[in-house]
Amino acid sequence: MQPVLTVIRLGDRELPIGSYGVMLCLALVVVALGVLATARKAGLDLGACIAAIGTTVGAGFVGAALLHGLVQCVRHGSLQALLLPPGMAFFGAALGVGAVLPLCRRWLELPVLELADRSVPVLCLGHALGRIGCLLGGCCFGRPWQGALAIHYNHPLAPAAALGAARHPYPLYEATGLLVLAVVFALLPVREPGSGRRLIAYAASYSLLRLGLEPLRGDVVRGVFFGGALSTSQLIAGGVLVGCAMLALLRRRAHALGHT
Amino acid sequence: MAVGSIVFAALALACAGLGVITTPIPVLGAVFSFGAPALALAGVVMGGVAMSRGKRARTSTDAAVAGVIFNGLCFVPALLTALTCGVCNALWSGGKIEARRDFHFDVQAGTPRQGASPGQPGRAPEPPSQRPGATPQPDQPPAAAPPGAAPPPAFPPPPIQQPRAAPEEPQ
Repeated sequence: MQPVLTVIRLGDRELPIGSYGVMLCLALVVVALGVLATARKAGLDLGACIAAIGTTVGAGFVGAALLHGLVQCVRHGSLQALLLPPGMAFFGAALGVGAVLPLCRRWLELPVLELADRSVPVLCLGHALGRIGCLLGGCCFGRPWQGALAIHYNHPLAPAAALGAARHPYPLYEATGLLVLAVVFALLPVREPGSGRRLIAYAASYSLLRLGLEPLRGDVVRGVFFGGALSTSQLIAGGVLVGCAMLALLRRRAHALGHT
Repeated sequence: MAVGSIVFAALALACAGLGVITTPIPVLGAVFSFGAPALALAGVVMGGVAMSRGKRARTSTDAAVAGVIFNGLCFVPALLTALTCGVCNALWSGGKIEARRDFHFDVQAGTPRQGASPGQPGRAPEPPSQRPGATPQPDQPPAAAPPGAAPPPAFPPPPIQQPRAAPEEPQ
């Protein structure tokens, strides 16, 4: 764990370069290059793909910050919580990206679902890199745990260090799960690109992974809704799972009607 | 649109630099720091659209490609600036941190050299050279900075120093 990767000295001032930021940049670069390689292979318009990547990355950041702000408002029961230090939530990024995808499809005349279906393994890989950034930064930490793989956060700049105790390496669990998903999706052949099947499968499998791992999270931001019973991530992951199941049922029904 | 993309890249780079410089100024530093990656992303989008249109119109896309590459290269330092100086300034503006002249990051040791360490809440003890009556050592910084000099911010704030209800971190 190394929250500060290096420090650049500019005269008498210090500019710390955080590991989380570096890993986030690396994840974005890997995803962008992977998506562009996929688009070139599929013979899609590269310029439109670049514009779509720029739009979705921007929407992702806005969504992530907005969801974090919303959770803070719910937690504190006041809109003034928006003035608290900024933060990001992954599901907010996913919702932001989902909101602008139809816009990109219409504006750029780009088959975004086909691109997304083909790019799922790269998306999983980028997501895993982001979680490794969490591990290095000492955020998104797990519950206290003394067993195998337990991590003791001792860097004073890591948020987990303030609470002490050895903990579950939660970001490592999630990164491993995402890497497994990346391998599985890379090995599975792309059938019906553009139908959104693989994207739905990724959303559903990540939601399941998140629901399964959420009880191991240890940061006190958990348990905001329904009297502390559910966290934002659990709530959204449950909603995504229900949405994915409904979409799958609709697709099956439409398929059956098409055959009769 | 291709030229606009290149202009956006230059603006993003300038904003990132200004974000670093204006970190100690409340709000302004955050505007520059968070504005830099936003400008770079806008430049990427403009460059991409220009590439797409140029390809369809069968005209040169060199300027658009240059804009995309330039913006892509600017985006990385701009995002790093936003995640360090921007967040620092947001904390600073919210009055969540205390500026300390004697704060230094020590990457090798994994602890701030003169900051609070775990189990030591509150302000860290002053180094010997900064205690009243102490003789400054040649290899140590002077006790007081020149008048008018802006103090470097202590970012991220040591968690022990100012206990909070909950760490504000990505979910």
